[in-house]
Amino acid sequence: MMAGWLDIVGMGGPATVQDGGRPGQMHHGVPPGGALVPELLARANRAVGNPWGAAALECLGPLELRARGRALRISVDGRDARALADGESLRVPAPERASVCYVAVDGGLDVPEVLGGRGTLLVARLGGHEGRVLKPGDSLPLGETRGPPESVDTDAVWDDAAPIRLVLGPDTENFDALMAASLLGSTFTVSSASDRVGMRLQGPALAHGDEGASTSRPMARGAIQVTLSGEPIILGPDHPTTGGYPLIATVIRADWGRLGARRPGATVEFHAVSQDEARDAWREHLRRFRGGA
Amino acid sequence: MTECLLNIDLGELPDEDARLYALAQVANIACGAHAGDDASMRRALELCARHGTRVGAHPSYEDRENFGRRALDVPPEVLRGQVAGQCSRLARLAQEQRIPVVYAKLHGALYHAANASPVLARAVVEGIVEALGSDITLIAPAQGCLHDAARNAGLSHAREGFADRGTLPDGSLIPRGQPGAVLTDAARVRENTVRLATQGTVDTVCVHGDTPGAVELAREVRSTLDALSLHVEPLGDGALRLTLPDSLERRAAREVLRALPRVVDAVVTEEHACVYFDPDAPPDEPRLALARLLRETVAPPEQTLITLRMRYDGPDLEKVAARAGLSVDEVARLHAAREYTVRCVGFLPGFAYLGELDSRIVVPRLPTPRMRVPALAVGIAGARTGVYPFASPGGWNLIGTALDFTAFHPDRGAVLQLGDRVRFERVG
Repeated sequence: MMAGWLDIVGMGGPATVQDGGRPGQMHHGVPPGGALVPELLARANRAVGNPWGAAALECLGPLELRARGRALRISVDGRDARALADGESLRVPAPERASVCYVAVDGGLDVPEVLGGRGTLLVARLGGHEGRVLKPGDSLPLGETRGPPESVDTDAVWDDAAPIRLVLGPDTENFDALMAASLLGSTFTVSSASDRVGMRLQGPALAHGDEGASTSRPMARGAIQVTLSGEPIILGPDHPTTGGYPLIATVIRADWGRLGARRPGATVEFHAVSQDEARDAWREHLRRFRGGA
Repeated sequence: MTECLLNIDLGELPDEDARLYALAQVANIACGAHAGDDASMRRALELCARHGTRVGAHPSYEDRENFGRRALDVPPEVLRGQVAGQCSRLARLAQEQRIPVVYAKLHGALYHAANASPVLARAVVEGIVEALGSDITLIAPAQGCLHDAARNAGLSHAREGFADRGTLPDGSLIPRGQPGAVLTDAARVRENTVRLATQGTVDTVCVHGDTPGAVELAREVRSTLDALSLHVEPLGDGALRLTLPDSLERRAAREVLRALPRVVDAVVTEEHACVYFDPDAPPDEPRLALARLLRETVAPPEQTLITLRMRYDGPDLEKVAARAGLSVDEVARLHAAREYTVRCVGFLPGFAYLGELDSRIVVPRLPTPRMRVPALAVGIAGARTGVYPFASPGGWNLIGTALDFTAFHPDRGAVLQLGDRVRFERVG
């Protein structure tokens, strides 16, 4: 097969290469990464015959792309999978409902694998295409076509407004019952200062007795840290691997994508679940979005 | 989970291994009935004092010939007097050494006989209270007459299980003399301990000082109990956060945890370890993996010394000096005078928390973090110092700049690893 490239012709918002993540490197201080909305990445990839976590574009705005070197099959969020002839271009509109959209191409984006992943980690300028946000004129190499495209059920999206499920803790000693009630009983708004490192929420301040004197502790995606001023920040895929702020609760894995999909200005409410409920939700999630792949 | 303590029957044998006293959390000291005399009790008490082991009285049928392991027909009133006398004898010697006696546990056949008879149970508990007062915890089976008698007398009751004894399907002990009654295989004893300590039905686990290989078995049990007593809490549905004891070698702990089946990653910070996994496939109890490290004093591997050249030219240097009441030059001298150890790797790829800073230059974090700290800036905060590997936001006081240092390689990860030794060399 001929080598192929995906050319970035024009951009109306930031886009990076992202994939299923690079688990297992946190002891080097390297966060797990992965798509902000893994469900949409999985759909886009499956619609072009890729494994769910193949490298694709994570886009916050519209962009214009062109096939070069070979014909390709392309999909946005699993919708509108279509063929693109060698030399043909395509305008991808800005994400409509979610904060980001994913553009997958058959064979995936064949950028170098770094520490087990191909995704871009901006803070360390590693992975993706030269470790940075893409710009017009960039050319991304394509891998070899893997398997037949799947027809993806694009209707089965989640309820955009449903509460985000979390388990309380682990730093329960830092927060009294009133603060847990405030977290669970309030409506928060996604701040525009949110990114792949963390989603900042606006809403009632969550007071805690911690003065930031404790040493750094291990962190995880989904953990809700509360700053000294009481602002909750939900850690995203590129979170610092350790941190000193207390954690009031942690969003369950099944809801990472549903949360990441919310745009600045969207509202967020929370619902506490047990460990067992969280695991059941994750199993259901795997069945629904990964199709056993 | 509340802590489950190791109790060992001691002061029974002339050639007893003194290491058992360091391993025991409660020593049940023979009071001269089935074994022991004033000399053995004094020695046992001294060893308890040396190792901080809690002292318990271990009264018995007065039957040295059968080591107190045969049931005797002794009238309750007589038994009460014998138990009181034995306990008083230990209490007197303990008082000479100013060591409190805080536990009591019946030995051998009396343990079982009293637990089956309300009359005997009442008699022995009265004997114990007469000699030792009611501020005593009685070690006895979870259920039975001893539990009832202790409650009626206002004594605390520690429910006991036996790590080195085989059990029948109904949970009762296999009688001594029958096959499988005494376990001497470390793996079996460990399994037994895990079962007893995790099902929440016992408060203390016993190893008999006269079981063959008692030291090895006690070490196994103690490290298993220590591991299971570590505080653990879920961090969401795909991670568990463990609180580590100071004594645990951090790098070894990280390697042991990372190697566990179904553990995807392990992060070790100064006080915690965290294991990460797929919520659909959680690992087996990760704390047990640390038992071996708790059992053996793991000598940290000899780390090579890494020297980082730096200029003391940071924007916060003068403020740090003013706060410390030192000259800028003195701050630089103190910072470069020490050898540091990597306490934690995290925050950013390749960022290493180095400690301990000289207490004279310890300053808090900036009240408001900078939006952008340049790569290779050297910061201090609290008792820690570190080099920012990349330009990033940061709240540490910047005192200088590292020269020709790469903290992180995309192909092999962080350069500075847990436990590494680091020095700063002043340049210019």
